[in-house]
Amino acid sequence: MKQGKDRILAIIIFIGGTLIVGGTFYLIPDKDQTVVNGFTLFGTFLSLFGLLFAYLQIQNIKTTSQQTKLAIENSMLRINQVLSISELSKAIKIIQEIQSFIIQEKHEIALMRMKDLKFILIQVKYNEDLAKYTNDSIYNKTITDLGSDITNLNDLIIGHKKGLNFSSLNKNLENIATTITDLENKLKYKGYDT
Amino acid sequence: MIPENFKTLIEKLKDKTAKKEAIWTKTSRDDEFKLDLEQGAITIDRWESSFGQSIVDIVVLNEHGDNVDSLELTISDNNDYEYLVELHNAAKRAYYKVDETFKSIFKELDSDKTIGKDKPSDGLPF
Repeated sequence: MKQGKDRILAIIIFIGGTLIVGGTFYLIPDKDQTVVNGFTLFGTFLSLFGLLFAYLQIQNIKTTSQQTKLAIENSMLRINQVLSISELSKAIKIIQEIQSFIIQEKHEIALMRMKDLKFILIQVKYNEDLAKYTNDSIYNKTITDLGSDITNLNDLIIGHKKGLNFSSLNKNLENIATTITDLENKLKYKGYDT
Repeated sequence: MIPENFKTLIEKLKDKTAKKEAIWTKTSRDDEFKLDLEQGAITIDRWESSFGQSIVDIVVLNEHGDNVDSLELTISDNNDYEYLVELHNAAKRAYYKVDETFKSIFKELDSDKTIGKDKPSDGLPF
């Protein structure tokens, strides 16, 4: 669009300049209206026009370069978004797996998956796109709650402590699932120009 | 012997809890309570071992939920054990709002109005 405008501007300047040069040549005294003076006037105009044309070209290249840079940044942002959404979806799947393993009393596997879940939650915390949602006490509490549940399940498995309220553990997992779903939807539908 | 940093921590927690300025929550263990801080959390738990020995522990979690330090005391640690159990009791009372409940009961008992509630009527004459 900008390039088209510049082209029209260049043509207008060239036609206007040619008319001005022609008019100037016509207005100078008859004795000075020689071929040499005509070439001098027109040559001077062409030199100035060339400089202007070069300037417009440089401006065009600069704009194109900025637009390319912006497009790359947008693509990177989009890729990061897609990766983040994929990680969050994975976390929700892991929560479902943990709940299923707990029902089947496969505590060792549930513990492993809980550690995977904690890894994703920490990773998400450092995602710049989600920083405004994860830099709060609720999200931090989600992580420490999970850390505490991991310790408690581990203590149960190794026999260090007896008894674990699986209903409460399940409730904590549901809270994490709600938080993650909320983040996923914010990433998908809120505030991003692509 | 309780390490100095834990002694300070327990003392400060007792103080905050006594002043009703600490919000304790419950974890997935029946007698474990958790205090969430800006950078991490603290849990305090009390249980009986398979040999019937009473144990109390306090765990410090970092912001990633990792156990960074802990102190576990058994009943044979005498005074130190009692010292930590006091914090556990304070956390438990704070979580269940024991003092507030008693205060509210006393307030109701001291008032002139009739206390207690009828069973809701089912609309039947018998």
